[in-house]
Amino acid sequence: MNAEDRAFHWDGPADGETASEVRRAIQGWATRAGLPTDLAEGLTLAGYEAMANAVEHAYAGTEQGPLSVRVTRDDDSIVMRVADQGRWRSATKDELRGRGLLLMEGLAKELAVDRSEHGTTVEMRWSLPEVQPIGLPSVSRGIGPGDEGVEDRLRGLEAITDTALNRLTVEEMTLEMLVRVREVLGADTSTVLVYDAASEHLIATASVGIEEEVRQGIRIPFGQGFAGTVAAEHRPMVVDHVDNTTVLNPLLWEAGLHTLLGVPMTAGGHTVGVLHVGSRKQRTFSENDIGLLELAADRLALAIRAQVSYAERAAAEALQRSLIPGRLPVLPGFEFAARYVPSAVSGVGGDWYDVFALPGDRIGIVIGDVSGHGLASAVVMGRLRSALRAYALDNDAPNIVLDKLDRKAHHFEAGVMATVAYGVIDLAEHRLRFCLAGHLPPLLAVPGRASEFVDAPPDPPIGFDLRARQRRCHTVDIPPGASVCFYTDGLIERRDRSLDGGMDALMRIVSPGGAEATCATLMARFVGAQSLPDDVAVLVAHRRGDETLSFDQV
Amino acid sequence: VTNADNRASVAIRQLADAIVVTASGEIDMTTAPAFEDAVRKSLDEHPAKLVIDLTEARFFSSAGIAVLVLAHRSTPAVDLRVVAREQVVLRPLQLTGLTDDLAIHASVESALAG
Repeated sequence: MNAEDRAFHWDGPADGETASEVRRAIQGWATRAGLPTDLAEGLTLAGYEAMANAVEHAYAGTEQGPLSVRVTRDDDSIVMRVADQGRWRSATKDELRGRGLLLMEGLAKELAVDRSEHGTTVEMRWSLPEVQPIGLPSVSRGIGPGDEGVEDRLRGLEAITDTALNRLTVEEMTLEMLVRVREVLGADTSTVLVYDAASEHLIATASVGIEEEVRQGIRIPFGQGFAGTVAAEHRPMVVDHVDNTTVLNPLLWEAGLHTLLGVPMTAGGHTVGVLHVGSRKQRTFSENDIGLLELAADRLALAIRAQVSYAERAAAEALQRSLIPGRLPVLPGFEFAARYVPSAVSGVGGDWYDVFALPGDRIGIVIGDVSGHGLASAVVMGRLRSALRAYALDNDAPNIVLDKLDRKAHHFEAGVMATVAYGVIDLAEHRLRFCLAGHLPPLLAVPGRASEFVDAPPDPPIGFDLRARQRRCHTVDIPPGASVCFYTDGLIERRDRSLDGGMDALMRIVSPGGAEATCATLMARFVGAQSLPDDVAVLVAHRRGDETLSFDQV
Repeated sequence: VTNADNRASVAIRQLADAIVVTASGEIDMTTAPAFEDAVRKSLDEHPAKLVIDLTEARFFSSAGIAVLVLAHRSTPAVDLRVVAREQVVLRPLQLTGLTDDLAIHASVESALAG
């Protein structure tokens, strides 16, 4: 239900331990995204096999190289791309590799392996299970001959779904729907629980008959108890003796309920919550009853999801605005400029930049990208941003700061991944010392030279707490008139162009110049009038040229 | 044998006429070497029957499959039986055609019987 469920990406070193970590992260993503178990397992195994190939074959006998994993999801499919920059050994009789490919072929709907001298990319595609169309057909299966009154009951629900509800707020509509559902099903209670992906709990948000549920803020863990099981298994369920063995929520058995019928609320393949009705006397629920409840659940799910998306988007935008620095430091020798543009598709995401003064004539500069989009990513971004500032104040070395950030993220934000570049500019020495956590390298533009990427291999992204080896710092001198340009992958990655292509273009376009002018050029050339698929952040640090300085000195 | 961060464990149990190798947790390229080691050691004992119990495996990649293939090379001298119940193990076995070649049982008891 969150936009963050739409994408997963990771960049880092190709080694076995890392592949296992990334595999677990993919599994976590797939589960949070509400994918069916077999699809989640297939995706995880296929992705792992692709990574294993890169680890075992791409860099065989050479130094470890980078690995990139991208999973994107749209309404009807999931695409996974695993790319390395090595060359797979050509031994075709290699049994192990053969089996890995066999697995990928069997697991994915489509598989393409693209080998070039620049590396190997495995692209796999899965179809998402079809989403039930909303409307009458989904319930008509429940209507059989001899079931008198069903048509009338259906019309009762239909009336409410089609006309009155459109004028109501989501809260009013939910209550109205619960009243009507209780009435047409002859039940004593009806309740909606909405799924909160962040806490993995279902939260009672509206109820008719046991209003205390809502007032007491009842929370049911996903996968547990009655409602939790309905949500996890995505199917209607009936409990015909309500007690502490079948139902977690004591209010339900204290209310004297005997029989419960619950159906999942899903929209666009995402878990939205659970709708259930209860009866104080023993009764059976027919197929028709289940069908009616599902119809109501479908309608509610759509409305709730739309409302949640809208509210989250607005909150995420407000949060992002409050966190992006309004004004960058103005210094005699250096100038800074930056841009942040949300995605046209998924709104604001987890990209951020930051520039702050540090003790001792130093400036800290940060650019980062928390995986995912929407409110959840923006909230995590805010916490990482604050934590990084705090660590930066107490630790001079950028690699130590990122180590601490990694530990913090791993411990307190399970499942979160972020790429971050953090650097410290020494204003007296005109030197930048920085560390890359899975982030793309900065571009250095020096007058009289071709622009080039700083040769700085990335260390693992934030969130894995891999302490296999020390993170590395890189140092680069910033001559007069030079610019250092940091960016997130949203700037250069496009559907119709590879990351490498984007980086080549970046190298050609950026020339030494004022920070504002460089930002403007980048946005004009890379973004222009396009609708961005991903959010974009750019941060440019520019050392003013000698001309003014020498003029002063004369 | 438990690997450093408890992601997988491998145990060998010697019975009168069989050896049971139990591989639990996540069997991938980092944990498969310990699994392979246990299987090789067990084969060196030339047991009449080798039971590989994967009931508690939560992830099973081609690295684990390679170990099963290795064990299968010792048949028919060794009566090899594999215990697996969950899709997370059965699916990779099916996709690589091993379900046809391996004797797969739903429990260790049934694998030990007969």
